[in-house]
Amino acid sequence: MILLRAVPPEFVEGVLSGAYRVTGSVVREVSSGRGVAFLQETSVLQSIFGSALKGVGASLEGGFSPLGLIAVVQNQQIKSRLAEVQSSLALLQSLQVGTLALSGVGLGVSIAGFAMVLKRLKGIENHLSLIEAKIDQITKDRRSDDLRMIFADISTQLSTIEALASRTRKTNVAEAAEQALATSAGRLEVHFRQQSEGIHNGNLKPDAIEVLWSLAAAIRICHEAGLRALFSIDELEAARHLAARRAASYMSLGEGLSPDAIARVLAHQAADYRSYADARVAALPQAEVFVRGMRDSVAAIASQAELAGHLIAVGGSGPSYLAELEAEKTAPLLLLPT
Amino acid sequence: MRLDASLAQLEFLAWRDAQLTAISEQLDAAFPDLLRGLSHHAESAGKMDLAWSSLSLRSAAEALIQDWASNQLKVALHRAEADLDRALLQLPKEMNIDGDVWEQLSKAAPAIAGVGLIAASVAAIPTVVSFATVGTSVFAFWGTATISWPLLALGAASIGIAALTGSQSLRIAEEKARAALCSRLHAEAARQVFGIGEAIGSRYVLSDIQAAVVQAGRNRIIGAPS
Repeated sequence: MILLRAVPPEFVEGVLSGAYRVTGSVVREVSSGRGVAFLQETSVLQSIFGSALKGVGASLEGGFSPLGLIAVVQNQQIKSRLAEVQSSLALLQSLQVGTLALSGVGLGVSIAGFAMVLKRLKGIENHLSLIEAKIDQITKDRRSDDLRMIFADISTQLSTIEALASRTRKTNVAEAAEQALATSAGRLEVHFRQQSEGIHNGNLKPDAIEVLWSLAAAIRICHEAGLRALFSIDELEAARHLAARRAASYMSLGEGLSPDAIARVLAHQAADYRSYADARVAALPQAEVFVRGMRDSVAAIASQAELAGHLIAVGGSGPSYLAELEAEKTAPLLLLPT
Repeated sequence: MRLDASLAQLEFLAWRDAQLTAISEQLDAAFPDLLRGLSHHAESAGKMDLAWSSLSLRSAAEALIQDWASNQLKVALHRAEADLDRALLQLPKEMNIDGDVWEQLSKAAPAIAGVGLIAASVAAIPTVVSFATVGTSVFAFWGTATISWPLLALGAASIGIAALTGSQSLRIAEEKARAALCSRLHAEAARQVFGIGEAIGSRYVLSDIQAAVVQAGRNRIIGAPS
């Protein structure tokens, strides 16, 4: 027994009062810096999201882009609705809808079922296709073909991981799936880096940020699914190491990006100061959502290394942790005290 | 990468991103003052200066922009240092900062300064600078400026011709010359401060101030005690 439990009200109050701070999925006591608990989302959260997003014109699965101006405004609306539905969800106040929409909340081990993750992946792929059609005609076809193949590979591996529970000998299959997902993530990173060069050389179209966001979200899906595979075969030490390495890799993808630089590059073609200033201010919110989403992802992935380390220390097992999660049918968030 | 190191690096990236945005916003907010100063300068220029001497106009306008830039740099450095001190003070309370974490942070330090857009400015500022000394380095750059001024008095030369043809023509020509001068000064200020019309990787006041702040911050992080 790992003893995941519902989030006590005092934790919610502690976070809201500033006594605790949630970074990634770790709840820390601000005064001491001590990690006091891990937060873990459950499948209940996904259905709550579905309800909360109704009526705000957004869909998790339909290629919803969190970067549009309307979506940025909707951020607060959605979070308020979540907190109304369930008081413990007030803990999500520090997160952005961008993170929520494309990668799940990212608290703890990914619990989204195959169908949900696949829908999300398909949504990202469709969204990418739409954007790619608008930009960079010369390399569009070659790049789109490669991306389609990568997404097909990821879908296959997600399916493999989903079927793990029904296998008797799952270790080799899970390890192979994890490695294949890592390869896909690496290939997506190449696309991400190519696209992000526009930020440094000044050749960045507004839609390129959407492409970058979509690629980053797909990379994160690969990382989370791979880590879930390792949890499911109780390879916690491997999960700890890999989560740490992937957090570093995700960090390196985004560390050269700053919202100001992106907004200024997008405004650079302006002919005079007034148009430049207006264009910069208009581009900044989108750039902030994108960069903040990248940073949140690093914290979320790094937290999984910490969680794996904690489970090793207390003698817990990955499969029993996942089993406790799957058994939860009412609470959207659970807490694992350290 | 350890979680502590990741979180510390994220904290510093957040500091950097906040400073870069704050500097852009600061310069946006202060730019109208500079434009007003330049307008006043154009309005108060003597007829002879307006007609024949571009040199004194140029020197005075250049001094206005340099003083303004120096003041903006001071404000930016003050804010950045205070914010970084706050971030550094908070870290030990929030996480276990030990030698390993600082080692990882030191390795990450070039990336903290690695915003491509300001690479030329970062390269132009001495590597070893602190919040106390970086101002001098940047001022030195502006003092020996590679700033290329257009011929500010180009349009004003017509006053000289008008002066030969009577007072009414002279007054109209003078008004036109002042308006043209004002417009040129404003455009030049936008070019020097925000790089309007320049290539994307060029140096200008905004990129230099951002680079100065980021370099000083990076060195403070590397030098932070383990």
